[in-house]
Amino acid sequence: MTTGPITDGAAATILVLDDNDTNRYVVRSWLVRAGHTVVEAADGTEGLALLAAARDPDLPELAVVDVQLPDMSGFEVCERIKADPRTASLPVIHVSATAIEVDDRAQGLHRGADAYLTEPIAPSELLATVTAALRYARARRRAERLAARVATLNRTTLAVYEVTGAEAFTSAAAGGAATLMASPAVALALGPDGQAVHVAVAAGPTAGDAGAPACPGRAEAGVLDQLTDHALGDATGAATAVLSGADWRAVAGRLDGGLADLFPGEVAVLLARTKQGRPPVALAVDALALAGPDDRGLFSQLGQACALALEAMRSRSEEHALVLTLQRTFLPDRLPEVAGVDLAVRYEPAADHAEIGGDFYEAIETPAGLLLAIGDVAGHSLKAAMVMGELRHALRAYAIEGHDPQTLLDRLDSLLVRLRPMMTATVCLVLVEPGGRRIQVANAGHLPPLLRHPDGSTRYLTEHGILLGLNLPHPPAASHRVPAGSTLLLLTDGLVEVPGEDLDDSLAALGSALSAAPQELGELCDLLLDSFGKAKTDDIALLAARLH
Amino acid sequence: MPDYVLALAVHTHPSGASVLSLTGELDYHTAPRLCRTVEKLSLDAATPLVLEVSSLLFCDSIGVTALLFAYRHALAASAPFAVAGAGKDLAQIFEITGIDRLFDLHEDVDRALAAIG
Repeated sequence: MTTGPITDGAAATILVLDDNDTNRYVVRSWLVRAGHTVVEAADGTEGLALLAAARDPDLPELAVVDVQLPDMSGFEVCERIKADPRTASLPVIHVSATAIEVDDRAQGLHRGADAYLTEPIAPSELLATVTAALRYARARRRAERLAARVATLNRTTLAVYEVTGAEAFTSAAAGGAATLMASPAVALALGPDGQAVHVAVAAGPTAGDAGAPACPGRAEAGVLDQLTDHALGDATGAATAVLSGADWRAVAGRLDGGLADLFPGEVAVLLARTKQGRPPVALAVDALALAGPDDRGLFSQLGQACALALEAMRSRSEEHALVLTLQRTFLPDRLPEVAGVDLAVRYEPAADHAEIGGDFYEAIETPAGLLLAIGDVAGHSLKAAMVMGELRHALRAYAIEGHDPQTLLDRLDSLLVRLRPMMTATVCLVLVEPGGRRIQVANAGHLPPLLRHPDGSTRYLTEHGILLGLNLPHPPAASHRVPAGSTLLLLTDGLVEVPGEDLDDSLAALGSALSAAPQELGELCDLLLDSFGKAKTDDIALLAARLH
Repeated sequence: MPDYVLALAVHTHPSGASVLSLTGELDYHTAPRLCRTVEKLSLDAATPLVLEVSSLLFCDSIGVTALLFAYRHALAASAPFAVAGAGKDLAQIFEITGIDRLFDLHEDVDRALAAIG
């Protein structure tokens, strides 16, 4: 059964199944004269075997079956044809001798036949019935094939939206195009970095063992411009151009990997973009795959779906980059240089796409000493990051006014309650008094700072009050003597809070790690991030201070 | 993508209190659902709210904020509030953030209700 474009009135291959040689000869001659090709069988067994043995392209499109056969009834033959999924849509026309009861005719139709003719049969009647049955069967087959292709289109659309990354995107697009168009396919799209064009190839369904040539991966950006010169130009939407073999080879020459000979003849190239000024997505298939209106419509829809998915992916990527840039601007761009104190910070954003946390750190010189701060505004959103920025700037302003740590926390609490009701934040302040031998710790619900003594022993400074955002007072700062050579570590919970792990254990492990960590602060921070910052889904901020 | 699972079950205690049981992980992905569930509860001075957290396996800073939301929602309705069944980790998070000063932690729902009812 051919699957290519066939007009409803075109000639067909027809199986004539009759044990009477004369009848078979007569029917055959009428059909052949009308342009059809005829294959013959003399009984049910032979006829069914013939259908079973035929390769798909040679499968008859219609069967004319005598009702009375020596080995089985024509009704049974018809039922078996309709029961086999491969031939279920093959129309069957019964012919029978005269003196057949009305009941037999009804039985034939009930058991699956598409028409029932009783002798004497006029040639014109048989031919008209054949034409009508073919028209119906072909329309049905076209509808079934279209439905299957629309399902493929939907699957591909989902696939190109689901993937992350330009490489996976072009693979999904090329694979979808190859399946949908039953042709080898190439997909090209500019990666989110705006530099390299990602290229993916998929073999068509008829590809031999060799399959598709190795995926060439990347190409220079100019190749997309070259393709838009053939179709779409600066417009939005989708447009297709048919490239000669030579034109295609001129393009393929810029893509490594043997794409020049992927297609036997002309190549249909589709370009699609959803917004003006954006780089398009390009799909290429064998031009012969675009013969019918369905083909062109489906290919165009696939191109548009790919363009939309690419645009969505690009927007997500741009949003994430923008949000990270913004977040960086909320954090100090440099740390103060204070005699007797070394400082190092690390900030690791959450790994998840487009998620942003509200971790922050700060180090400010104040009249009362060096003020160190670390905090976390609860949330993974731009809002959390903005509130983080607000708190940090407010902290700077209040600190410059010379307030003590307890008052600073009360001020920040009032500010948060007034400006951002329902949001909470944890903040830990450590004031290093001039001379560096005494620190004051004021902690609003944050993880306790970790202190390493010169002998390597560590302890958490656990005095604390409640987190910010509840309009509740805070206790006075706790004062600690710190010997020369002590190291202080402020951290956010992304470093130690892991689902399924005991927090006490994590805190103890961090204490041990700090005990054994190198003296140099940068190395120390990197080691802690390497040991504890793996596979974390939350932001991580670290601030380390060495007090000489 | 990992699964973010939090199961929430509300039932009315024979005393009339609303008991909200949390099972799983309370974080960025699941906290909004806790807030929505709490908002739908009708609470008053005679209808306390008890959060049963013995099967809450993980709670981060966003989870704490959601628990505080429940606390404030009860407070606004003049409803007594308690947390029952907190494990060692959760109790420690409440301690570090200082919110253990806002409400008492109880071993189980009955003891919580005996204390606040």
